[in-house]
Amino acid sequence: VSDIERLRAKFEETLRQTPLLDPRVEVFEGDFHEILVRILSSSFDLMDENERQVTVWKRMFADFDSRDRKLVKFIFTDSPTEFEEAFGKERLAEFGAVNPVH
Amino acid sequence: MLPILKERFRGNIERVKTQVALYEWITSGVRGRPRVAESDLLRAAVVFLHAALEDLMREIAAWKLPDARPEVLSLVPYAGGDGRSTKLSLGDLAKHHRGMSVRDVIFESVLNHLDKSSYNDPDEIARLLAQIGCGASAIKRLMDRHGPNLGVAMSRRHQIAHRLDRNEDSGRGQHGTRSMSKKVVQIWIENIDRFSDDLFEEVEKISVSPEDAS
Repeated sequence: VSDIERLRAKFEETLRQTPLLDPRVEVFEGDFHEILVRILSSSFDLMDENERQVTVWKRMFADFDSRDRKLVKFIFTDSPTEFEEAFGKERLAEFGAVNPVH
Repeated sequence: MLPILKERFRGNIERVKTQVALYEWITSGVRGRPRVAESDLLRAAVVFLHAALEDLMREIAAWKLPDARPEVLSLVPYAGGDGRSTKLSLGDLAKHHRGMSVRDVIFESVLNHLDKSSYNDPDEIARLLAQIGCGASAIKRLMDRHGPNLGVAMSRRHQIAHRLDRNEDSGRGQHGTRSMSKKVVQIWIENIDRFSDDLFEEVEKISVSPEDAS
């Protein structure tokens, strides 16, 4: 199992411990093969960037060891609305998330 | 030593706050979402904030690391070497350190080592704290309280400094810039300030170095 697959499973598991609504996770390689994570949840619409990030980082500190924390270079935390605005409706559909505004 | 470190850190944090104030000044009266060029001042503040944190860690380490346990100092390359080697021969001593006290050799080596060090995530900070003699329970206390907050600010700093804060998606391509708010930067400044308060408290408890005792 690759780090990407393993981390996706770990994120899916740990996000169940948060109050985030229907969180969707994508773990992917950045341009320089660094591991990036994107989490979508409509709950993020009600949170500022710090609240979103701290919600996820608290779970990472509880459930990930230092090696796995180090592997993750950045976590993008977006609401489906923001993601659609940045990357379009089709990309949002690929993600399996739904924009509650529609 | 501690008052000097506190004052230096305070001065560095003031520089971060000045950048936020500059952002306030150039965006005052501007309607709508700030332009990327304007919010870049906030990104610069995040980079400075991380630099202030790294400077604090380095200064504390420069104070405490020379008195660290021998097994910790064994990992520090000696000054005058190739920057990697930790094995020192009598010839190396004669070449680079003749006439110096053992303490001076250790001190100079530690400073050279710290000059090249960086702390990019909370675990690297925790590792340094262990090296300087901070107890496991103190490190756990600090990381339980501050680890996630540090991680949030440090990872964003990495994204800003190495990826110009691009809103990356899978696959190469042109991506926009992530938004950055003044309120969030101010929270991160407060968080790192609070971490420094707790850190100073814990560092004070580390056994007194011989220099301070004299």
